[in-house]
Amino acid sequence: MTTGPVTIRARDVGKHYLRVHEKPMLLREAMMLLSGRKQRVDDLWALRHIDFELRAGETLGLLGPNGSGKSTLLTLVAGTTFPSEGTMSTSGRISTLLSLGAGFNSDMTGEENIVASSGLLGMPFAETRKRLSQIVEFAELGGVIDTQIRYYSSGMVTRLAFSIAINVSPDIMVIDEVLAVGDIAFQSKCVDALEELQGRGITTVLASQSPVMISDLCTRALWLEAGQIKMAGAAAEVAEAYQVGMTGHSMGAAFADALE
Amino acid sequence: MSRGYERSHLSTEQAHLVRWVHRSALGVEFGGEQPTGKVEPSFRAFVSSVQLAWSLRETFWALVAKDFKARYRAQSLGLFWSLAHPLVMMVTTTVAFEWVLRIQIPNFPVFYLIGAIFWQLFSNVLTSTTSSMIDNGGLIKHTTFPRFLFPVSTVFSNLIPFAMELLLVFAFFPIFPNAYHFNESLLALPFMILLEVIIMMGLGLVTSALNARYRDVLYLVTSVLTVGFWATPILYSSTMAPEWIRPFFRLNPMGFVIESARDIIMNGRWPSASYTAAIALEATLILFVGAAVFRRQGRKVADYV
Repeated sequence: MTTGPVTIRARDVGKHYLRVHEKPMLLREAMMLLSGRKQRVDDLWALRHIDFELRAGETLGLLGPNGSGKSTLLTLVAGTTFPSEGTMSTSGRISTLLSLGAGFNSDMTGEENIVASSGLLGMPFAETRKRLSQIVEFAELGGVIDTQIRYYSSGMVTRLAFSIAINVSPDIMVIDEVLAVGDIAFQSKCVDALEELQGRGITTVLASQSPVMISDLCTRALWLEAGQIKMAGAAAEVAEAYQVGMTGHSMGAAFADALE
Repeated sequence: MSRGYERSHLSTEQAHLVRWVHRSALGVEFGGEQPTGKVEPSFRAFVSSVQLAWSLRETFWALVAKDFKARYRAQSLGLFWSLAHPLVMMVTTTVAFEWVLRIQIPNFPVFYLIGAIFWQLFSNVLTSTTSSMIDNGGLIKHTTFPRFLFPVSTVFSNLIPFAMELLLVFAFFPIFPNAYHFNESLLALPFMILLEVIIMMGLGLVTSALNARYRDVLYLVTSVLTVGFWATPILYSSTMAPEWIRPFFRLNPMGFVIESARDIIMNGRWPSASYTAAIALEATLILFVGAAVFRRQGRKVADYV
């Protein structure tokens, strides 16, 4: 599986935020500059010392409690934000599924949103039109594709977003915990689709709260804690350690509990 | 299970986009697998981001279309409203000026309409580009194409209703035949529009970048626009102003665009070459300053929205 070339490389990546207590206003800053007063700010390292390398076809799972930096790391891989230290390098077209329905326009129909979103992810229009039926079919939205998406349920929006994301010929896919919104049938379809993409050599980075999903889908995993890597390794091992660390039970025991 | 690495699903057109992108606190570097750690000097970086934008021109049109549709889908009569507004303004202003205030400007309705549509474009573009980063917050968190496409696409989506309004100006020819003088100087009109586009892009790049960081920039822009409306020869002509103030008027590029457009449409007169060159230089300068400010701020936009 790890025969492909390197497609993502993070070298000592850190992301620093200055947390201000008041909404930044030009007028106030100008007045503070004149009066020589300093604004109260907190330093916040959302991520620090993140190192990893991924090859084409590999899938990296991100585990960690809320606020541990999973989503920040995803935006750095996606390239929407820049690291404050270190270098994040990627090769190829990136497709993202970071938040539910972001980038959709609720006044436009499903079909119009497919064309607009695919265009914004870098697909030529002609190519989108060719794949339109494939996208609609995968999202199982055949009957409502001409309806404004304001009338869609959140599950339907997720299905549409996922279907677009995998159909724009990405080299790299970045997925946050949005899959949980779809129903079980669609989730298992997504898992199949992601496995197929892995086979085609697409690199995926996936954040999830579910150790089971990470150990099923991913080849490797990172356990993040307070912005630092607590554990890195094979997905199954990290997922098991995370499950034990967070709950005190192993994944097998949790499954056995559920059966009883 | 090892099926190796395939790129056959990528068309040749997309394949050139498959290259290394290195992001660091210094900025973004495109090229080989290893980052050199040296970020391109600003002019070359600007050129390469324009090249990248050019390779994403379909993306750009998707953005323009989305912006335009979003604005007019919300209104059932769509473009009709963009024409109704200047018409209503034309009628009310004519009544106020000619009948109430009794200020005599020949062919005032056409005189005003030309000034109003060029100013309306300027004012609409500046308010909507200023908030373009916030309005597109979802996309900014979602996609990576060059950020300057947001303000620039807003400029273009506003040109669509402007084109309709310009047709409206010519549609009044049968009603006020004496107000028009058509000749070959009309060829200079597209150049005036181009000048305005360059000015709007330059200013829009500054205000959109600043507004992502400081949310009160929009209030500042609307206040400055109100002052600008009265400081620009829209309701009057600069020849009506006192002698001492005219040199300041001549610095206002929007005043030049509006008065030249009037001269072209109503008098069939070419704008002066030297004055046009000076304003073109000013507009280019504004665009370069805008690009420089945007380059410093643009990278951080996703951290703020």
